[in-house]
Amino acid sequence: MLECNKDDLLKFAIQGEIVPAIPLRNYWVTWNGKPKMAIGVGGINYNIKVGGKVFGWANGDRAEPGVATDGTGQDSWKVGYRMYSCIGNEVRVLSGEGKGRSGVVIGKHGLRAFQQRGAHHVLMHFEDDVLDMLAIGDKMQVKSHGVGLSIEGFEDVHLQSLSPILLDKMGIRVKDGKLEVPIVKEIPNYLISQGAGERPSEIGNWSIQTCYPPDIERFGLKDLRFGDVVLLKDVQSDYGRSQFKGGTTIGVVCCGPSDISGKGIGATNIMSTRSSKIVGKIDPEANIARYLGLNI
Amino acid sequence: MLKTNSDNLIVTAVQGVIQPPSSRGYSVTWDGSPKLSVGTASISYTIQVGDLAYGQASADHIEPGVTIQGRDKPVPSECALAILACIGNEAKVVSGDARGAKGVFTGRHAGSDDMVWFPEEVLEKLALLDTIQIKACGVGLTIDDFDDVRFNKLSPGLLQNMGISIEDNQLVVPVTKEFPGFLMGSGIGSDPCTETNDYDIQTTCPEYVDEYQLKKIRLGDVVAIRDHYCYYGRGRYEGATTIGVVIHGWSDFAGHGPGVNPVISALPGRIKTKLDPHANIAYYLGLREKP
Repeated sequence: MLECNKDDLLKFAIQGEIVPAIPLRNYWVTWNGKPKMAIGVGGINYNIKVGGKVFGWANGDRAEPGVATDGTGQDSWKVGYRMYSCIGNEVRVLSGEGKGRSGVVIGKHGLRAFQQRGAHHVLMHFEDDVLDMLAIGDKMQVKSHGVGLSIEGFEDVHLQSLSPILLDKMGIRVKDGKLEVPIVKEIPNYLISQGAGERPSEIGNWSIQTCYPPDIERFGLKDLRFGDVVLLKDVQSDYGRSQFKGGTTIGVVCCGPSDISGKGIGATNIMSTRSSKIVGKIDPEANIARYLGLNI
Repeated sequence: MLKTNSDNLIVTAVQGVIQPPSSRGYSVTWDGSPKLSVGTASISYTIQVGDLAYGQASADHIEPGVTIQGRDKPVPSECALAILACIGNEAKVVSGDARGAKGVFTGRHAGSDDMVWFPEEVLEKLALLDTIQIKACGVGLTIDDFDDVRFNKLSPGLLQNMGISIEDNQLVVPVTKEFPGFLMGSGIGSDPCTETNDYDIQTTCPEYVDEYQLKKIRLGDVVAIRDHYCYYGRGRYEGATTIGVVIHGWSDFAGHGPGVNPVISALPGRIKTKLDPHANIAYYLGLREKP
């Protein structure tokens, strides 16, 4: 059992709403120069779920599981929503047919924290019967719980967008003075791309490139599922994201692959260190759907 | 002399104004320190293309010479200047005390800024918000029998002056340094428009800084990026080669560093490189004397 400071964490309300899908009228251009009507980002994705496959969705490009939300109101409130929501946080539907029903935060996907263009999505899972009640624009309230979380004796390991309830269930143990984290896969640094230079680390995600097709077979990327816990080798996400020899980031798979140059499978960073204090232990079942007891 | 299609390229006017610098106070560096950074936008009186990209006090993403921005759309990266101006294109001051003075377009910094070189005496006459016009030419540039190779943001004149030769059906390009693709950070994977974006050689990890001698990079250097393909966008492709021009300086922010405009890119087997410490656009464009 890890000792953490969960009793000292603030728990507070943040508010968002379901955002529309954002297809691009003029097509995206793929790495090899083909126009693509890329879909899957934003809106309510009824059949893409945490725990499900990331590959194989027709026209999917960075497709997101579940329900995509962003903050509401003033720009600074939106940044707060993006920054403070943590995977595992409890969600309550505030408006529409699903009012009063609950869900859970399962990932964060987006770029350019302080800009209003593009996607900055906090992703949520709801049971199927609730999903059918939801509408674009419905208001959601998240109980933010996790900002400032740290593990005793590992204060130099940065925890981000991670609720104490998920941390508790990830099967992490201390071995030889290091945190041993169950992971589905280890990803080498040369696959890891977009997300570098993006800060703060609490917003958005890393990308695992899928624009060089042989990598997909070579590294078994096809087997990945939404919600899988993965280890990103030789990258750090302490104060912003970058390549860093010897650094380690633990991520949760938050979006599907891409045919766009430099983009790919998204991983929301939840743990980071520039030291060697995190090691992975392969476990094919290391997925947040199981940890959070989601019915999928 | 390379055989190109330069006679068929459209030459068109694009415009920008000299952008005043702005500040958001302190930002947090990769190791968690506050930094008040300077060096983007404005008129730089001390730093020009050909200077080191590292070492200036408090500098971050330093932009050499004069920084201009398009105003024909609300977002600078969607303006004609950002898309059509090519490195080596002629610039002319069209308003203010320096009206009529000539300079050269030297690169584009993805966020918002396009850069122009002017002689020192012209810098003294320029004022923020003066208007600069560029004779944009280079979109669509190709070399005969290299239709599968992407040329981006290169004026036909610069392409001819880069010392490129052809051997065994491959272009041989002089470069100051070669970098592995994984060092490339901010800008990778952002929109597929190669014309409007740069991406950064990450200067975050001290071990990589030493291993790849990142403190020796100069503004204007022509460099090679291994295993990256930038025909449409910027991303990984094993064996591919991208040639870039360094357009802005170092950074202490995670995942950032000297910015590179991709100027030549191809799948494996089409580009070879040879090391030349003077492979820099400052010499190719006659902006400074080759030592």
